[in-house]
Amino acid sequence: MSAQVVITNWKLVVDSDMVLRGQGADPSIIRKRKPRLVEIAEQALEEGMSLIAPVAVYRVLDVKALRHEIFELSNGTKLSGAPLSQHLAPAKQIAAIVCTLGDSLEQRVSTLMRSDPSYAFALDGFGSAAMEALGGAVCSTLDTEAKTIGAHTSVPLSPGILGWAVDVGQAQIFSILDAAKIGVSLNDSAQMTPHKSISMVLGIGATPFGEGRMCDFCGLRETCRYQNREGHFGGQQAVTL
Amino acid sequence: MDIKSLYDAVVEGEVKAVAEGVRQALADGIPAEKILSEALVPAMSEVGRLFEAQEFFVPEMLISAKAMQAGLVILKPQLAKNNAQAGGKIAIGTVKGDLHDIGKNLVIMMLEGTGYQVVDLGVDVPPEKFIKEVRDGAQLIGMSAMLTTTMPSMEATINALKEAGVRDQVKVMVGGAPLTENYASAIGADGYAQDASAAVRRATELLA
Repeated sequence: MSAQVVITNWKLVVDSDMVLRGQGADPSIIRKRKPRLVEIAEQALEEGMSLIAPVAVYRVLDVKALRHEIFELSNGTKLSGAPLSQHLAPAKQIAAIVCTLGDSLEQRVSTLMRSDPSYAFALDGFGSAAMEALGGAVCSTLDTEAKTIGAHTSVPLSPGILGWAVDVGQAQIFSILDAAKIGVSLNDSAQMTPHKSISMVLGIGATPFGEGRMCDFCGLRETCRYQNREGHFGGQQAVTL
Repeated sequence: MDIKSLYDAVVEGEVKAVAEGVRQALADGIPAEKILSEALVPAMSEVGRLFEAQEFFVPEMLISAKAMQAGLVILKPQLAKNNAQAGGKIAIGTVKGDLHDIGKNLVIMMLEGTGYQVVDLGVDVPPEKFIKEVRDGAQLIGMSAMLTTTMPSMEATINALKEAGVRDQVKVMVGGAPLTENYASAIGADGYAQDASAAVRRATELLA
């Protein structure tokens, strides 16, 4: 059984295009049509970087068995949900992951929202971009570790995807990890605080997993305007120091 | 700056140009009501239309709203002097258990930009706060939820409005990523809006 690992020194690479994407905008269009918004994104990027404290906690557990859509893990906990058994079936290990940017950024966004919503939204967009960069970096780190032993990793799956309800999935992940170690907690609605946090699981196994992206499993994919946008988990670069 | 140029400046989100244009228009003798009704409000309606048509992105809508606010600040003293009518009182909050506020804030900006008096109740709002706002004169309440786990708080709030005997005094509009028109109807809401621009349109219909 593996102990949980906390990594604090993430150096995220985020640029102004990512901040614009974080606001749901297409950078190539905005650069031509509203250059002022690019300036605002650059300002948000500069300030936002000083407000985040990226940190991740993860724990890798061996899979003891997969029965009736339920993974039984080496510490006695269980992960259940149709998409998990469907997409993580080849997994010999499963990593439970929670990462966050801390709460300073969202406090600043909240303060600014009434006085300068445009800039506040740009800062929030920076937060979304940085959160995706951090999620991608954590997955990349685990993938690199897996490759050293000739293993593969799956697409990350987060609670809230089709067939894995938010409250069910969050309870499962938070029973595996002590996310309080990095300052992340759940409220009664299974919502994480700080808001700019991600929880997910990643399969690790000897045989390759199926291809896929987070958007393929998202419950909002029929109506989302921003699905499959560039840079969703894996497009960003990050290194651990 | 003439009315057409002001309209264009709001659509383009040119904050300084709108502020200067409104001052100039007032100095040229154009009535505040005309500036509001023929330039600022229709410009924001056009921005909303472009957003709903997926031609504009959210930050473009926000910078236009900021430009409109810059003009409104200058117009307000004149409008108050002329007793211009406000659009109505609306109270908005993210429902109990839910801490998401970006969508709610966008809706508030758009409603204020259209001339409504909006009370921002914040996030994690219990039914009692909505009831109090209705008793204090809100004609419409807007509820936002971002999670399937917090959507039931909307129905609980509507039931609480009924139990408090104030449901008939107020229109109820709901919105948020996991919601649908069918869900809104099933819980007894009067209206559903899928985004900030649609929320303005729907509120206007409900308060007509």
